[in-house]
Amino acid sequence: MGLIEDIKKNKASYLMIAPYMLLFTIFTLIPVISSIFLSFTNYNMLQPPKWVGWANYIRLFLADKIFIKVLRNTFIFAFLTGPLSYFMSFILAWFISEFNPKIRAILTLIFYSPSLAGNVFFIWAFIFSGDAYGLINGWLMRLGILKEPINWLQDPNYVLWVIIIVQLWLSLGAGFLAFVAGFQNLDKELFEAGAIDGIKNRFQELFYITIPQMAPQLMFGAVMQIGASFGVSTVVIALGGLPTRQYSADTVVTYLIDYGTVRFEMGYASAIAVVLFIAMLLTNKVIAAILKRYSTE
Amino acid sequence: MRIKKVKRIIAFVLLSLLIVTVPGYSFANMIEVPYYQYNYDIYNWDIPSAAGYYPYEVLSGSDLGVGNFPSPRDMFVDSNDNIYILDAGNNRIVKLNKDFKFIGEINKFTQNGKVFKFSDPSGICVDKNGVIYVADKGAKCVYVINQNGQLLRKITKPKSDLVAANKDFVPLKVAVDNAGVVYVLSLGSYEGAFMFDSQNNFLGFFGSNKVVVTLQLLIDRIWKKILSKQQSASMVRYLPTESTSIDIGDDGFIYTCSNYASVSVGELKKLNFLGKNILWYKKKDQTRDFGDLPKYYGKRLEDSYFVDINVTKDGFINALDYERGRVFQYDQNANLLFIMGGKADQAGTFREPAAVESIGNTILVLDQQKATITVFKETKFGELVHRATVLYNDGMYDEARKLWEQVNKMDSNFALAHVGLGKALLRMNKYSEALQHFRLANDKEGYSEAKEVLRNDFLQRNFGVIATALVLAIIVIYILWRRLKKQKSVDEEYTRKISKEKYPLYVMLHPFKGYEELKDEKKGSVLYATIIVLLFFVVSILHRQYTGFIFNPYRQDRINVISIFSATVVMFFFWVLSNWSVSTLTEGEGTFQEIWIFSAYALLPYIICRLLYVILSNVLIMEEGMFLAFINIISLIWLVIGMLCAIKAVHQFSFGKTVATMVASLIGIAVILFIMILVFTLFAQLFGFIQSIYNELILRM
Repeated sequence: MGLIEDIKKNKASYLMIAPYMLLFTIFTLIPVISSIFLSFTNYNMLQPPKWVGWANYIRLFLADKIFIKVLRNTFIFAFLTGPLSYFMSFILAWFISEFNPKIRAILTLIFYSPSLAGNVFFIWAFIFSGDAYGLINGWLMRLGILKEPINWLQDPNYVLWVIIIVQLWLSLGAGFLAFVAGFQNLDKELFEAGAIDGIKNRFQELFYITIPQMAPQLMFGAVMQIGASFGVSTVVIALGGLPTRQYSADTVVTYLIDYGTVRFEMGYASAIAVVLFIAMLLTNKVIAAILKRYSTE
Repeated sequence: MRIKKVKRIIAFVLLSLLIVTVPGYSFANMIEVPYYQYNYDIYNWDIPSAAGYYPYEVLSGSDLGVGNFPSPRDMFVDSNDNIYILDAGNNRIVKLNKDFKFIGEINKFTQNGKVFKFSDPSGICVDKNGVIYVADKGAKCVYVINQNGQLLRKITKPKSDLVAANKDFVPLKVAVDNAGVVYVLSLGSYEGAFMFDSQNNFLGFFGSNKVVVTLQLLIDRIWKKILSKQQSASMVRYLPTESTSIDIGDDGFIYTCSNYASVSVGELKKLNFLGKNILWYKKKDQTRDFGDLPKYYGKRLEDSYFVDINVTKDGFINALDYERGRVFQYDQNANLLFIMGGKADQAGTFREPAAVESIGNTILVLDQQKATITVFKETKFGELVHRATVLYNDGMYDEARKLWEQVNKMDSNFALAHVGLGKALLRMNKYSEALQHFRLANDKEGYSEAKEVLRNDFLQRNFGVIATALVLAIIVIYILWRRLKKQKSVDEEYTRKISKEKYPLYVMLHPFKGYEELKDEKKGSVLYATIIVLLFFVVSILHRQYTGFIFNPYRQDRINVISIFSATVVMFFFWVLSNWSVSTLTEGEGTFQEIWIFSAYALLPYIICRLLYVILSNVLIMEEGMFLAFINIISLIWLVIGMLCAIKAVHQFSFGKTVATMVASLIGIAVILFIMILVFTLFAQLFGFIQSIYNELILRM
C-alpha cells in the first residue's frame, strides 16, 4: 500500500509529468510493444492475428536469403557511410570554425542545405541517369572510357555505390550542425594551458583538448548518424525504386516498407523491425561506450 | 628377384581380371595415345587423364585414291556429312562421302562458257543446298559454285562507306548461315566479318572483337585529344584483333576464334545475333582462358594460337591450336572436356594443323604439312562424357547421374562428373553426399548451396534449444560482467595494479593509454611476447588449413610450414630488427627487447580476429561472406592502430615521427631481404667456383 500513498503524496509531480507520459505512451511505447507482440503472429491486416511463436524469426534468419543480402547493404551503410560521413562532418566543422562568423554562417548553410532541402537529391537521378544523356554517362562517353551508357540506377553492380555517394552528400545533417556549435563554445583557457604544457601543433590540440571537450556533441552526432545510416530508405526508394533490382541496394528499412506496405505481411514486417531495433540499440551502446571511454580519459 | 617377378605376374593377372570384371570398362579406355593425354584439374594444373578420343586412322591423299594433296588449306563437312577438302596445292576441291570414299572433284568451274580456276583458295564452306563457297586470296573474291562446277556468282569487295577504300579485300574464311547470309573473314578486317546476302548486297560487319582497354590506351587517348591531327595519325592505332576462323553451329549461332596478343582470355566466342559473345564460363559475362594456359620457356611466352573452330551437332566446340598442334574440346558452358593431339610425327599428332571438322562426335583434323586427315574417334569414356554433358546441360540431372557415375569410375579426376553428381544429389535431397562431390569439383557455389540446407536444417530442428542457450549465455555473461565491474574498487581504478598476464589484453582494449602505461610500468614480458608470436604462426597455419572450404583459396595438400614460418615469425623478427635499426638512428628510446614485446602485443587483436574468422568460416555460407570481410577489415584497422600506438609509446615519438619510422622500417625489411638474397647468390657462386676447381683437380690428376 506504500506505493499508492507515495503517489498521493506526490500528486503534483505526477500531474506535471502526465501530458508527456500520455503522449509518449500513446505514440511511442504502445507501437513498440505492439510491434514486438505482432512479430510473434501472422497478422496480415485482414484476418485477426494468430500466434505463431518464433516462426517469423526462423524464416527471417534461416529461410530468407534476401534478408541476408539486405542486411549486408545495411551494414555497408552503417559501417562505411556512417563513420565516413561522421568524420567528414567533424573535419568540415573544424575547418568552418576557423573562419570569421559571417563566412561561417554562409558555409554552414551551403553544407547543410542538402539535408535541409528535402527531396533535392533527385538531381542525382539526372546526374546518374541511365541513358546517354545522363551527366556521368555523357562525360565518360565523351572521354571515350565508355562505349555505351551504364544504367547506373538499374545495374545491380553500381546502384549501391551510387546511393552511397548520394547518401554521403546528404548526410551532413544535425550532427554537423551540432559540431559547428560545439566548436564555438570551447574553453579558450584550456588552449592557453595546453600551449604552456607543450602542445606542439594543431593536431595535438585537436586530439588532447578539443575532442575531449566536445564529447557531448560527438555523442549526439554519433547517435544521429547511426540512426540515419540504419534508416537509409528515402534515397534508395527515390533512386533505385522499391525494391531495387535484385535487391542490390535495399536496406532493412526498405525491406520493411516492402513487407509492411506492399505485401501487408505485418507479422513478418514487425519481426524485421524488432531485429532492426535491437541492432540499432546494440550499435548505439557500443558507440556510447567507446566515446565515453575516450572522453573521460 | 624371383619373388618380385612372381609378384608382378600376380599383380598383372589381378589387374586384368579387374579390368575385365569392372562393368562399363572396355578396352577402348586402355588405348594408348602417342601423346601426353592430359586435362586441366580444378586448380588449373595439368594432370594425366583418361582419353576421350583416340586417333582412329590417318588418311593421306594416296589412301583416299585421289592422288596426294600438297598443302591443303581447309576442309568442310556439309549437312549430309560429305567432306570437302580444299586442295590448294592442286587448286581443286576434293569431295569424299562420310566413309572417306572419293566421290568427285572440282578443279575448274565455268560461267557462260568462261573457264575459271582457283588461284590461291584458303577457305571453303557449303550451304544446305550443296552450293559451295570458296574464299580465294589470290582472286580477292569469294566464288559461289554449284555441285556441277558452274560459277553462280562472285562476291567481291563491297562498295560502301563502311569499307576503307585503300584496303584490300582478301577473303580467308567463309561461312553461310541458314538464311543464306554469307560471312567472310578478310585479312586484317578488324571490323569483324563481312556480311553479304544471297544477292551479293553488303549488309555490314558482324561480331568485331573489342579493343582490350589498358592504361596505355587511356593515356594515348588523352594525348590524341591534345595533339594535332598529324601527330595523332602517327601514333599507334588500337585496333581489335581479327578473328582467324568462323563456324556456324546447328543452333544457328556463329562461333569465332581469334588470338589476342596481350591477354589470352576469351579466344573462342559464340556470337548471338547482336554480335555479342554469349559463351560464358561459370558466370554471366565472364569468359575464360581457352586452350593451354600461357607458359614461359625462358623468355619465350607460349600460348595457344587458334586457327580453326568447329561445332559438332551436339554443340561441342572443337578448337584447333596451331602452336602446340592440339584440339581442345569445350561444351556449351565453356567447360574443357578433352585435349588431344600434339606436335610430332606419330599418328594423332600434327606438324601444321590447318582445319578441324566433325562428323557426329568424330573429329577430323587436316594437316597442311603432312597433307593428311587424322580421324579421332570417341573412346567409351568420351562417349559417356558426351552423353552425360548433353543431358546435364539440358538440365536433366537425374538422367545424367548414372552416366556421371560411370565416368567417375573411369576417371575420378574428371571435375565435371563431380559437379554433375553433386547437382543430381542436391535434387535428390542427399545433401551430405552432394557436399563431398562439390568439394572434389572445387565448386564453391554448389558446396555453399548444399551446406546451407544442411546447416539450416540443423538449426531449425534445434532452434528452441539454441535460442534458449543463447539467451541464457547472454544473461550469464551479463551477470559476470556486472560482478567484475563491482569488484573493481575505486582504489584500483586509480592505482592501476594490472598484472603482467593481464597487460596484453589490457593494451588490446586500451591502445592509446595502455602502451604508455606499459612503458612506464615496465611490465612487459618477453615470454608472453614470444608466445604471442608463436601463436601468430600457429593461427596462420590454422587459417591456411582450417578455413571453411567456401572461403579457402588454398590447397590443403600443398602446405609448406617453413614458408609460413618465414612469412610470420621470421618476418616479425625482421620487423623488430628493422624498426630497432631505424629508431636508433632517429633517437628512439626503445630497446630491441622492448620493441619485440610491444610489437607482439599489438599482434594480439589480429590473432584473435583471425581465429574468429576461421571458426566462423566453417559455419557461414557464401552469401554471408561479408561478415568475414568485416572481421578482416576490423582486424586490420585494429592491428594498424595498435602497432602505431605501440611504436609511438616504445620510442616516445610524436605521431608524425612514428608513421615515418614505421614506413622506414618496412623499407628496411625490403633492404634486409635484398641483402640476404644477394649474399645467398654470391655464396652459391663461390661454392660453385670452389666445386669446379675441386672437380678439375680431382679429374685431371
